Amino acid sequence: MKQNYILRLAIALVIGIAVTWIAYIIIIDADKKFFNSMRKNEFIFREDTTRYDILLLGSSRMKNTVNPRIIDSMTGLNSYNAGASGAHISEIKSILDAYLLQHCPPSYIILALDYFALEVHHAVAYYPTYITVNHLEPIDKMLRSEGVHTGMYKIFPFLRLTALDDYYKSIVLQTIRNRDDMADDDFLYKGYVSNTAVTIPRDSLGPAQTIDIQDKGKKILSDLLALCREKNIRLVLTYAPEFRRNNIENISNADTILNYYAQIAAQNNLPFYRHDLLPMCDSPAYFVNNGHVNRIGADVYSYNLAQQLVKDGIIKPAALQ
Amino acid sequence: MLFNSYQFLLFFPVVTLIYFLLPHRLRWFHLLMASFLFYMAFLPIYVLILVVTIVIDYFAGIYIEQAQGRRRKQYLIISLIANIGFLCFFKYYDFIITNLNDVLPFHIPILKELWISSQIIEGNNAINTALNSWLGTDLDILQTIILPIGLSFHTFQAMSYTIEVYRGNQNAERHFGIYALYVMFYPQLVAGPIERPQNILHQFHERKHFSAENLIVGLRLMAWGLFKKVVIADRLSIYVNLVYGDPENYHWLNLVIATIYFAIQIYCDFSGYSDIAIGAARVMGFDLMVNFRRPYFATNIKEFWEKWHISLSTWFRDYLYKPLGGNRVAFSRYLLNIAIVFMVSGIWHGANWTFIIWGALHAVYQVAFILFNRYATEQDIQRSNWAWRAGGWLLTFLCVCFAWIFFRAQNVGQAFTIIKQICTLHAPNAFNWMLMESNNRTGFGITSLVLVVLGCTYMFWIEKKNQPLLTEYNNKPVRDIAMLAFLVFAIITVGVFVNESFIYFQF
Repeated sequence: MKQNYILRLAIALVIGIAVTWIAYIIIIDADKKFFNSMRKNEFIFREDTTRYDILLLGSSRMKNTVNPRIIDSMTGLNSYNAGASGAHISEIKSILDAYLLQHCPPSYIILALDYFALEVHHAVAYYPTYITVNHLEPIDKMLRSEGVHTGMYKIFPFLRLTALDDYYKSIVLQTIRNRDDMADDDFLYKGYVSNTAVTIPRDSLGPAQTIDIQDKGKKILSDLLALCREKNIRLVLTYAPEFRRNNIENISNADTILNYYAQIAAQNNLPFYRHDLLPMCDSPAYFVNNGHVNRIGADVYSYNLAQQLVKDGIIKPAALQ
Repeated sequence: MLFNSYQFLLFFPVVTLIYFLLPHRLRWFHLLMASFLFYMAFLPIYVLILVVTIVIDYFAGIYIEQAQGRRRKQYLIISLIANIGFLCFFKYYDFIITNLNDVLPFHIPILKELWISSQIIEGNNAINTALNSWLGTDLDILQTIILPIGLSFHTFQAMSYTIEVYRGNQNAERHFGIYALYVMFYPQLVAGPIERPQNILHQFHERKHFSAENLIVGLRLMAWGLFKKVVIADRLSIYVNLVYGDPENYHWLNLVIATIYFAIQIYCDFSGYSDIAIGAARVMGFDLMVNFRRPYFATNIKEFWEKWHISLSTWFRDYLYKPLGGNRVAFSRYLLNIAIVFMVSGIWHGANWTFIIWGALHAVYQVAFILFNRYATEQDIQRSNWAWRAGGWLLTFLCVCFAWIFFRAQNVGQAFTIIKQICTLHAPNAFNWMLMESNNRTGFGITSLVLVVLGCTYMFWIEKKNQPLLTEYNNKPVRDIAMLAFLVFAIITVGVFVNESFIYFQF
């Protein structure tokens, strides 16, 4: 074998790929266990086929803001928080499309539109989240549009590892030790992740920015509204609470954005709730930073939201159905 | 096209396979087309600049060879002006004009303003829209066109051809395609090594046969380069980018660590690129020059520059330092020559005061070393013992790291802020080995730290024990298999693949 370089290369490749494949199986299994049973935040894309009555969609300002346990207890319905950090309308639409492939349509969708929702520079904010669930076509399409070569995964599944960051790879160690990475007082429930453990030491405002309302973003929002109509889903639009409107005040064209949301809601006969105007938004006790509520804030807000939706007759509690 | 992309994973074997399947007379054409494809994967329009300089230098080479007397020099000057002109226009025009505008009472338009004021703005917008529609991109083409990728590299390589023809060390290349390939050969097109015509041109004429030894040496080197890039450099860049992106808010120790990390990152990034380039060429039977020889093991600054970016250092030595008189002049002039070379090297790296200061710092280091060396020789100080070598190594590494602060900082003000914070032990926030983003996912956590420590230890151990091309492994089959298998495993399992571009592409 000393001079048989081709044989040497072949043996090295076979061993290298075999060991990598084993590592892939271990990492992906740990990943599935972690997100299915410990975190449950990408649960809806895996084995879960439950029919949820209420689907909560939006960015981290939905994911960390609305607690399904409170929504469920107030309405007697079954809700799921499918918010995704940094998600704008394109990612939200992909999540909904993928959800509908595995689940019956929900009766209600509460969609938290962020100020950046229609500025669609990327199809997805943080693609490693979806690498292991690209068996769903809308997710696969979203990843491909971000330049992720999902086609290669069909031939060499272990190449998925190249799209996972250190956080995902470290999950295997935590799962083996049967540990989550959340603080003891954090709360996870049906996709909702409380914000208690996340502390941002400085949260000063940056320079004022202008957010683009892109035609592409408008089109995707319009498609999402059409899909809800087609599936007979009652859609509710919200703008999530923020501390003393610090985020929105820092956007030079905030009025244009919010007026556009209001206009779209009016045109489609949908309710649009401006929750940045709630009294709770003046209290620092409810926030971890300008844009995100803490666990207590999330519970207070979820209670208010459910109460408002029931009171306004938008959501019919289970007891009345 | 990036070496650390899936496109290249497909491109490289296909191009190599077709290369060996084709008859010799067609291979130059195949490689040239592959190189066009490789370069145009970044942004097709860049290639026009390359084509123009190729045409100019091709004819310049022939005319220089045919001409006699002063004519030869005139043709050389025309070629140099064309090359340096392109470089200055695209790379330095904005820098010079922006600095002039700061002191002049009137305003001179920068490049983009020139485009806009040239009455063809509507046309430009139409070009922009058409190109974006064709490329499927959403770029400001006018902004992007301002600095073509790898311009400094292929310009220097083209200049070395006409200079060598002028000096009579190289015959002018009559085959236009082969000459174009000399400038465009895809493995070293965008970030070197900057080749000399004597080393590479004749290789394009030679009939290359497939060799299993070349295959394994080349692939081993490519895997090694990729390991350095994706396992170490790109992982370190997460920490470095976070700290250098907002240095005012980090503990002084974080700044120190980020600077050391950057020193390792830039080595792994650039030498990794060179390894992949040399390896890819080697598989097809081409020998490119070695670009790095364990620079961080250097025990003095002179040795560091003999080991770091060798193709550029020797370029400056042959085409700037020696024509200035080298060391065969008065001692003060010799020091001045050294200083000029390093200042120009700084400017070559980029149109920014940070690079100029970086070059100036290395000029100061070199001059200080020469003066100290002279003094030590006069005083007969023994410098070969262990303590001198260890001290020399530490001092060299610290000096190089200090200069890297300017190289990495976004501007001079930021560089001085970082230095001030380190010197005053400024601590606006607590020191942390790990830096996480607010969503607690992306960032540099304990896993990243462990992987970096293990990766760096392995890399420095292997490089300390072996020659730059790792050819020792040819005679150690078991170790070779273990190493190759490990590299495949490590690259796929713990590599960072976010399509990070190579740092030196910007030059």
